[in-house]
Amino acid sequence: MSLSPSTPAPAVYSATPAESIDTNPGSRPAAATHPHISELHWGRLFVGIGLFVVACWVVDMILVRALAGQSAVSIRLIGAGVMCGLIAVLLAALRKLRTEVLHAVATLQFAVALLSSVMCATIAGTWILQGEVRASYDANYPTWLTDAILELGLDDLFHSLWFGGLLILLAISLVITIYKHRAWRLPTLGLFLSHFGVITLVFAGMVGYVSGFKARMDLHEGMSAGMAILTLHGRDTEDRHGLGFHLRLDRFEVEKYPAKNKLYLYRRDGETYRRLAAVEADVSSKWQSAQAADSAFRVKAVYPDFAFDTLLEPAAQGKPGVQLTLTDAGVQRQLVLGGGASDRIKLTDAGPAVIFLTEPPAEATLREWFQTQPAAHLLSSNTAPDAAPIQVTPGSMYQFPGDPSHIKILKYLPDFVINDQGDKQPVSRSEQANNPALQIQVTTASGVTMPPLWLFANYPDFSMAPDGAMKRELPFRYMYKPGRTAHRQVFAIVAGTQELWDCREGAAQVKQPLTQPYLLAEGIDLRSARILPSATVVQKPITLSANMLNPVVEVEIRDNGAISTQFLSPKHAAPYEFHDHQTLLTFETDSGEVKSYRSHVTVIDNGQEVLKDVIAVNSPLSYGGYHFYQANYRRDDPTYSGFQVVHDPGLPLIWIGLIMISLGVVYNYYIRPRIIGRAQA
Amino acid sequence: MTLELLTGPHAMVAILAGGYGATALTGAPMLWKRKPVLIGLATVLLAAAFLLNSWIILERWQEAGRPPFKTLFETLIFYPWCVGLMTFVLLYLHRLYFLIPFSAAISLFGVVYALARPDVEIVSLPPALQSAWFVPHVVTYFVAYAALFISFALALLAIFFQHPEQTGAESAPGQPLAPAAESGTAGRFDGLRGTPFDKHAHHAAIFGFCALTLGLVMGAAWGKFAWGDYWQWDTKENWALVTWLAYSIYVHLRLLPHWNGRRSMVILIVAFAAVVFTYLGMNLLPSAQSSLHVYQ
Repeated sequence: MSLSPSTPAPAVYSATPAESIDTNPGSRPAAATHPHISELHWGRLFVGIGLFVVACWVVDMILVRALAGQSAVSIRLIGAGVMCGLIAVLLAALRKLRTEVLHAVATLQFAVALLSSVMCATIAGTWILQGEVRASYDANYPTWLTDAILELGLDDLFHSLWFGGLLILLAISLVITIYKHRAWRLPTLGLFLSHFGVITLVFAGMVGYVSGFKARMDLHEGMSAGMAILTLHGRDTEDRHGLGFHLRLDRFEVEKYPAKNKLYLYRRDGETYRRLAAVEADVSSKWQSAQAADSAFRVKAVYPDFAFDTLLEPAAQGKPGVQLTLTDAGVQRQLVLGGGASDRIKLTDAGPAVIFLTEPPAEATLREWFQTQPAAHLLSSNTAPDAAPIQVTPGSMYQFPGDPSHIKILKYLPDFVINDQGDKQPVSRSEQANNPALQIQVTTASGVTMPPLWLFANYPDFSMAPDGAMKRELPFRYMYKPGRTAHRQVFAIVAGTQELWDCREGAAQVKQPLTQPYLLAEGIDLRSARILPSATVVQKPITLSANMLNPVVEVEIRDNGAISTQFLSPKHAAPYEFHDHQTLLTFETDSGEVKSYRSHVTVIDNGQEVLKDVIAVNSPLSYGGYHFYQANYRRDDPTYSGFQVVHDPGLPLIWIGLIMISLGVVYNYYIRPRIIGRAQA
Repeated sequence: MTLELLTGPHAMVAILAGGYGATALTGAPMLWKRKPVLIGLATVLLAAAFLLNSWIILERWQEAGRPPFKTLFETLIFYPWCVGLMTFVLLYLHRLYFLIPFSAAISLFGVVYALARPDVEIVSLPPALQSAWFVPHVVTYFVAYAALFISFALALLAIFFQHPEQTGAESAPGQPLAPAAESGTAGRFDGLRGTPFDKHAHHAAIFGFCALTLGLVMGAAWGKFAWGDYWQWDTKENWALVTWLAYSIYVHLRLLPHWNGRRSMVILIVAFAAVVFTYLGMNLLPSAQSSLHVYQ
């Protein structure tokens, strides 16, 4: 195979199918025809490169320790100088070595050996964490390895002297090769472009490394700055750089994608949950598989601003109830009384009460409404549950009819608690009836007085003995009826007569059919009433508006065959867990992912506003030899914008190098063979 | 599970997997015996799969409102399309029918992997990816990967079905390969007789290498506009460089005596490992967790 510069590139570069390839290129030993190409020993090449790498590393380690205060860039520059000096001295002194080296450096073999070395070094740089803090290394490697990596400087190998040295060696060998083979002539234009492009890249990279820098700026809206904080490999340094002009952030805006409201299916995956599926929160009759046995779900309804509405519905074995329709400051409201729920309600805190009755109230009842009712203590017998409860007061003695034993009421505590400090005696924590407790003492028919017992209105299953022991069985149940202040006005809804009674001062002042509207309080009108003799109270989910203020979805779920309805909410409800305890269904909303960040900036140079521009992620600003990039933002501070400032004098050469390599490679393999083909035809 | 796949959101992709599977099965026998009927059927099946693949990509593009090349799932659907495209180009130019089972096999692998790791939802493009460079950079790279897979397949065929040209005397490892006709395997593997696999492997590798170069350059240019840096020694960038260097070593090494033969085919086979690792291996590296290129 010929490598002589005087012949065109070998036929293997041909792309046209008709042209036969030289299937016999190795039949003549290359050395016989071209004596300056002899096959070099691969081992010696790699050893030579290896020695070069080690020498660079040794020089770097010595200089890093000797010049501890200097910047990394200066140390590397000095190191490069030292290496050049050493190599020059070595080559000048040893003639045989010089001849061998200068010959080897221009060979393809050397190029391949060098490319392999760079490749292996790059692979190493992906397996070994680069530029991280010590903790990251400790987390990923055993201690001895972490120590070795940090000692050998392998935590930043891409900026080390030996790696840079390999790239420079590559560039030098390319220069020598191009010169030796006079590759700049037209027939080898593609080769020249692609290889000279690499040289340009390496050179431009070095220029950027030495005299370029990166910095960052933090700005808030309205702020301007003329200084940037220099950064090295992403971390802040102590140094500041003056730009020579100011940059003012006029406005920062974040544009988001529309908010997503979706149901997500999760599967337990060890410690965490993995998303299996996402379904739009739209009503659908189609069942979505829950990827568990006989399990699926579908969205029955979506409530953007969820609330429960209480309604009265007829029921077979219900209780009488009434559904009142009121207008409250222009908004229609429903009010339900009875039907198994409470029969009374206060319209406003200090306002009138509305009470539902089946029959007209007796006079005594009417008077009672307008009297303050004290709290009442009631005792009922568990052994004779049909007997009516008796009202008791502390200090008195009572007897149930037919029961010979006597019950003495000793004490009442509204908010029972055991005093932890001191005497461990029961005390009342407050005046409010939070935990009403009654102490009773029973004397049996035979005259035996039992130890006193505490009964609890909130815990009817327990009683407490004097020693503090809780007992499960007890003969009596204590019920506490809270007191009530006197009403000022009561509206009685009488089902029997279908009337509304407006009662004040102990008597019914107005009686009116329920069919007529009536003003109940300021701004509150009774519009109509619907009385049902046998009804039950039903909670119906509704949405108060179309705004996503409290989004909830109603989902029909089939779980291992059983069908149920669940409400899922991102804020309130827990996720639904399927029977396999591995699969979850949630409803999640997010405020929308970021679509773009844009900084509206003004450049102020010499006091004048010289340029207005918008910096966005793929749209940097270029001014005064600097490039400004949109680097970051803060979610909790929408007036903040972070910029990366870059100064890279080698940049134009980088573009030229990249274009040269692209053009050279394409030209060499696709354009030139066609030119040759046409010339030969 | 199959029923779930066929009724789920990725039903079309499941059918596509079936299509590539059928193509691979139909096409495999042509490696033993050249049967025009099977070749014709396999070609038609591959064409049908390719059309379905195109439709899936276009549908996703329309549904997402952006080019569908962001997630691993999306690229695993795009890669078989590129392989199919390359295969049809080579079918047209050089009648390389025996590529069909290989292409179908790698496409099947890609689509099945996609079904194993489907996207739960269509994600939006973050600001960094909203650039005119997005489509050219990704497309160039996947076209390169497709061409390099084909060079890998052809290199495998060269190793197994082409022998060094010399007859009689012991052949040196670096000797060039003769087309399979002279190799003395008459009667078996009829379908592959007379084909210079190494030549086609080389051409495919060259095309892939050019595409890798352009892809790398585009990536650097885009990086400069998006992040301020044309090169950050980021893990994915480094592996793209490793891949480029591997094929660069191939093009240079085969110019040397004794390397333009079986050895260069071996290099093509080994170099493809770099392609696979660059595309799919990032999750194995702790250093890739903070990479700017990591798939979401």
